[in-house]
Amino acid sequence: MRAAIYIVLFAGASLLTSRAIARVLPGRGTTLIETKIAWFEKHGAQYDTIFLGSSRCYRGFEPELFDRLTAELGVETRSLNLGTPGSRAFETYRVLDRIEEFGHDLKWVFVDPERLDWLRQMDEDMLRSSYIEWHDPLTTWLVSRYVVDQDMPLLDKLSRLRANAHSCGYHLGNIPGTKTYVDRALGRDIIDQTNQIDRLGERLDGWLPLSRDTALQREEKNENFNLPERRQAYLSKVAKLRVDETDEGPVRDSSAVFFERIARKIEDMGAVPIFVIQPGMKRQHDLIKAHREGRVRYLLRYDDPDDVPELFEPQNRWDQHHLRISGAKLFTTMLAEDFARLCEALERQP
Amino acid sequence: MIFTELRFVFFFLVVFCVHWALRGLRARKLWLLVCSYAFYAGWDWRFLSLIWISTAVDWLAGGKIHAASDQSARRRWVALSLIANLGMLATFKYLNFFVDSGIDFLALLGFDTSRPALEIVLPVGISFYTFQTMSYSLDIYFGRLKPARSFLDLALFVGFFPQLVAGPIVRAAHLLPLLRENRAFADVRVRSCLILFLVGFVKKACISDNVVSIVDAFFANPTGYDVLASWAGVLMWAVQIYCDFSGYSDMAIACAGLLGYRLLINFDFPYLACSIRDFWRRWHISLSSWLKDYLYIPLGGNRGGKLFTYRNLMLTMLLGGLWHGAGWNFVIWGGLHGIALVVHREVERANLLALLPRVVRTVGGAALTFWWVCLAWVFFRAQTFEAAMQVLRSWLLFESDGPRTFGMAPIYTFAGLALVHMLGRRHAVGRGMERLPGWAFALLYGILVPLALSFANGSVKPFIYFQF
Repeated sequence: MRAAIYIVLFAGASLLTSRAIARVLPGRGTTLIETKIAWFEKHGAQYDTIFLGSSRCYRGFEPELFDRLTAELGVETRSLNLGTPGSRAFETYRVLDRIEEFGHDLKWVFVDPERLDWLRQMDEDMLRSSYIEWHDPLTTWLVSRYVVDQDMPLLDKLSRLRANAHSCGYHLGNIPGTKTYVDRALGRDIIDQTNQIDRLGERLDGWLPLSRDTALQREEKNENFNLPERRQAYLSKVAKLRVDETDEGPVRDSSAVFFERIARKIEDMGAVPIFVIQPGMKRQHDLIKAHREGRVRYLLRYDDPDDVPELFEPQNRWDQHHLRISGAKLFTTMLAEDFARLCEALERQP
Repeated sequence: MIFTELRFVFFFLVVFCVHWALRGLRARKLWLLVCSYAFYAGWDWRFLSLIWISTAVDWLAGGKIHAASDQSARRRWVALSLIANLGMLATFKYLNFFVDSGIDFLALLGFDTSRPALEIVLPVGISFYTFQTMSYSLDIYFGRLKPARSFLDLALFVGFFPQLVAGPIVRAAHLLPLLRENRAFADVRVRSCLILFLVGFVKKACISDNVVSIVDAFFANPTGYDVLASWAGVLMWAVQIYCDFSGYSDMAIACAGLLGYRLLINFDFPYLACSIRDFWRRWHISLSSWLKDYLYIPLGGNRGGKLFTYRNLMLTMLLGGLWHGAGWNFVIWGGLHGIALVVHREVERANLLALLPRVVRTVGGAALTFWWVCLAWVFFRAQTFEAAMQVLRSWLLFESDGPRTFGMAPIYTFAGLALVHMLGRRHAVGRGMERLPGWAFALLYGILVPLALSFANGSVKPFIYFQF
């Protein structure tokens, strides 16, 4: 009996201490997203529009061009690109959770949540600090529900659930919560003026097109598609994409909940959520079905090679996943035009 | 599965709860044995067979040595144990090294030989458990021990998971009697063990794992750093290896303690040693005492003349170095310690130390010992002989062309080392905790654990000594 009391006391003290510590610790996201969040904390009041998503967003949305075009079309926007490589719906939600606390004037939030079926491939990378960051208990529960709901062998499901629970344990234990302070003390990876430009782009608007990425140090050339076999392989994938139709069945609750959660968070922040599907190699069937059923209100799609063939032309692409500068400008232009039309439609609504 | 991982905590909780829920001694030992094998199988289930072979050979040899009436029969059986265990060690750990060294030697003589493609995986913990089982047979041979009463006892002695993969190397004379007692949970010093585990965790996950990337970067390119940074790089490596290895030992001893088995300490603040001999009484105590009892003394120890003693010292340290790894850098490391031990003996013999004031002997001795130990650590860590020489250029000649520095990193590293020294000081903190009321300890531990976790590095880095 006494042992049970001591265990309860220990658990209670641990929980309270870890929650208290969590309130004062900095985020554990990637260096890039932490740089962007820090930037938003200082300058958030300047922006009324943000773009959230993965490297497709990071490389593909050009805020300055977007703002100029929307202004010409009669809609004033001040936008910031908060895209980071590897980011998905869960990370996007966590970013929204954090920036919600800062003062902001947000009206529009564009989100590309990326495909959820990435969760089917969880592995030891679940212990990366950026993954631990979004593994709060509720998100962990939702991810577990998604995994259980999938058509996978039982052992694979158990393996994914174990990895998921492991990350949640690290999240609750604030591991590695003091990473930023430890890194700073040990002289590692300090965010300073120089690498702020490396991360936020020359205009400090969060857009870093691939061809000017100093970390990659590549010239602006279509090197990935120069080889005939690479080009052919890419074009075959595009052809497959053309015939990949989303089935008529309903979206699973375990999938839709991720998008609904993001939408609700954005609405609670006083902004309008607009989901975006960028030109990629696979359909985001869950998001498309969720929109079809009205669980996601606004969705702008650029994933059909028949509708937007120029975004799939090799000369506009860096690789099968990302756009080059020319592609990013095209995409941003299309987005601005569609956004302006959406705003017009919203104004006409009673 | 390493001790700093969350899944190990769950594993241990299950082992702990079932162990103390079982009443019978045999049931408890069977449970521990199964868990130990499961723990090892998590690394590589194929090499469980080697543990079984080692256990079976020494069970047979130990019984035969004890029963044998004449000395030649006893020698034959102990030879079987040594050949079997050292044979496994030689095959899995040293075969590549011997083959490569042989080919390099032949190349020096002008013979061009092709290297056979040998891909032998090093089984985790083989250096530890083979030495452990050999000590069983050797102690029986020397008349210091009677054979284990049951195969289960011997199997558990060999395979006991807290110390199976990286020590401490436990003597049969210490653990076998403990295995025969059915301990009560009331006898367990739970709080001391929990604090020891936490100290070990802080050493490994918060200090060692956080500096590893800095140390790796330094040793990958030592010429890129200035002289001060070169000194700092080596010193941080010294902190890293101490915190890594002693942290593991602390956690192993704590886990064993929580299961009712008190293992002996393996580190006793070695960097405070006043002499190189003192250092080897404080660093990896289980190995140094094993080498003394089963190698140095059987070779003759100091029972012969001066040169004979020095020969035995050098042989012991060279082989001790080789035990750490199949590479000439480890042999050099051992040789440097051997040289230091020989010099120390000469200085003692000439009574030169008595000429110095006590404070100079203590402080100066500690500083000199630490300096030499760090110098030797360079060979332990450097990726190549050339890289070691580059580091030593800075260390000994204060020459370095590189521009890079470490900033405040060494200060914080040593602050961490000072902290764990304070916490572990003669286990005073653990003893102090035993005096607290239970509820107060539970609350305090509940505050300390999340604090420690928040400083943990987070990425799973194996213990350095797992590669030995």
